[in-house]
Amino acid sequence: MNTYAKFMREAKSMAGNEIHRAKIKKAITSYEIQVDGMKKQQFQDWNAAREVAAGIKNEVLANLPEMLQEFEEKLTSRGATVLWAENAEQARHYIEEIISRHNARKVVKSKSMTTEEIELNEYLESRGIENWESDLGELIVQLADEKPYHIVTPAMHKSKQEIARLFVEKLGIEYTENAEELTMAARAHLRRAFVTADIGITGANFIIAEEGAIVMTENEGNGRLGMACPKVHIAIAGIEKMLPRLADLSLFLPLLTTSGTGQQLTGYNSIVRGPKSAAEPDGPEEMIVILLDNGRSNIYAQDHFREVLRCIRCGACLNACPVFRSVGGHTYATTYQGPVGSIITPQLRGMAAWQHLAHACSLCGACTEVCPVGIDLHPLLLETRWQADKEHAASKKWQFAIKMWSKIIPSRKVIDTFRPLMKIFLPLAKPFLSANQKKRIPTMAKKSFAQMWENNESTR
Amino acid sequence: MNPRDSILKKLSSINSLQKTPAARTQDRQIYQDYPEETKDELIARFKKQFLALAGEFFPVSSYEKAGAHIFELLKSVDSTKHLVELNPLCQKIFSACPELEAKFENIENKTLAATDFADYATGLTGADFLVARTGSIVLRTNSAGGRRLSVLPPLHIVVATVAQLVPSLDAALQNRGFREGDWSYGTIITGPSRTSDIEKILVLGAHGPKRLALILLDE
Ligand code: SF4
Repeated sequence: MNTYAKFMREAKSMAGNEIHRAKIKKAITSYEIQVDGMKKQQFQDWNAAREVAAGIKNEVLANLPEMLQEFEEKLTSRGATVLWAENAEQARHYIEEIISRHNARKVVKSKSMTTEEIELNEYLESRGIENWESDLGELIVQLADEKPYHIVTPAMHKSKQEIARLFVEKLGIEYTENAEELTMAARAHLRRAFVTADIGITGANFIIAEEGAIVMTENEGNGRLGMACPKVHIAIAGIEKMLPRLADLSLFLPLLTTSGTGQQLTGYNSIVRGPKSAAEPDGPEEMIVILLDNGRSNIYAQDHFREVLRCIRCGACLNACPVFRSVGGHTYATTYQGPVGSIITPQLRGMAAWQHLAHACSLCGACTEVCPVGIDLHPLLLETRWQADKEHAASKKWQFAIKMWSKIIPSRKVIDTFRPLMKIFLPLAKPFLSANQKKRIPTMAKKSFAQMWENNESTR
Repeated sequence: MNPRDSILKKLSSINSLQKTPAARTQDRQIYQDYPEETKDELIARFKKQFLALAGEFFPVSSYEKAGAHIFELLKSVDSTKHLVELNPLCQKIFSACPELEAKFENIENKTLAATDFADYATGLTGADFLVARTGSIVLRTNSAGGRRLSVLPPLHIVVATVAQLVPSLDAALQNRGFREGDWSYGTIITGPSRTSDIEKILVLGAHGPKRLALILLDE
């Protein structure tokens, strides 16, 4: 089945799934209350914050090649290695090379969407490398053999009962629905992995040009452990994660956290400038940062789409999106879900297979309203549709329908010839339609608007 | 062409880009404004935030009192093994309370593998800055005895002085001393380790320290 047919099938079944709807509603309602409160508590002028953030990110986009080189130079001067990957395959190849050079058997990972993007878990598994997801939400989806449901909250779709059953089966604990006990079970389970792993793999929320540093935001401490215990630290960062200055974090950290989870700051925000220095008692002996392009430079090359590279992956647009709420994260079948995912996926992975995502949108604009870096999300969704049509990337059926439509609609005469035909055809077709389709067929008015207009009739 | 050059070439080949001038955060009134911020107000603000995050807060006026609080904290955990990064402030506290010194092992005198940390209940470290607005503690590897001491033991005790208190994160990051020094790792700690990945229910002590205590010395 192709991606579009799969999407339609999943979307239909999820939209009618009331249990799913209730779980997501509960999670997003509690998210919204916290976010609204935190915006007011922390910011005097949220819109000013967004504008400044967008400005700083535009500065990054205007100077991206220079900043990447500055970042590389600063970071390597402190003994780290910077590798550049044009695509997922190159990135995986680098990682394989590091693993075999260190003869590593065990990897501990902290939550990172870029590693999802390059399908690192599947890859490590196929190579027989023991691989532990250490973020609680990620661990839950890994144990359930699923993909993350949401870029920020990977296990948003799981109730505590489901998690309890999963932990009983996979971790061998006693059944409990107590969130604290479940968390402690995961803590105990992973502690051993942290202290014995050969390699820690993380993402990066930001990379800093002037400082040659990567920045990681988290609440649990699993990222910190992954950068403190193993002797090798690999970080994978998209090239667009750049910020010019360290001080920019004083805006971007609260901005990301407020939008992402409604906290003032997450529990830990770590700034990493290299492997362990000579004077330090511990830390990885080797640090490698993989800068991932994987299609981002194609987005960068397009004037209309470039601004979507400002995205800081806060997840706010997913939570705000009525389509996401009803079809759920897994239906997208992409690394990045929701409005931003529907814009970047066709760019990163091909228009023909993914342009349908841009149509799963009512253009309500809720995403654009919440985006902390002011990306014009819904206009870009429209732009994606337009580009898909221009490139004839839509299905043959759709292209045909649009072609007919564009012939009929501009001509009053053609419409008027079709009207009487429709009047006859529609009642005839009715017996062959499902109840749902019947509901959607409008009853035809006796006269068209144009006819009434000509005769100067009232619509009453 | 190698991947590096090929990516850079692609990014550099776009002519339509306008080199926009740097955006400045200071030009706009973004954050909630707290005009006052005398020393006492900063302490009060920090305390409020830190307690809201479930931090344990102990303001003290002497080294003896600081030592007494640390002593109490050690009693509250069920192991007798504790580690310290012996910075000057800790040293002063220890000389004021000699019986405390015997409780701690100095991390500098040991070579500990990550697995060896399992026995230790407590990590005692210094800090670089305390951020009043967010109730955060900023540390870097040179003030915190490396990366592990402040994250592996279940109880993290921080000793700091009021002089280290700054109003905002911006003030800490813009501080001239912050970027200096031979440190590879720094972290902004805002409360003990936490998660709400299960139905958005807040649980403390996910993977990092379950408890975070601050001894704040105001001489
Ligand atoms: S597009 Fe905006 S709202 Fe959506 S994840 Fe990115 S930064 Fe957040």
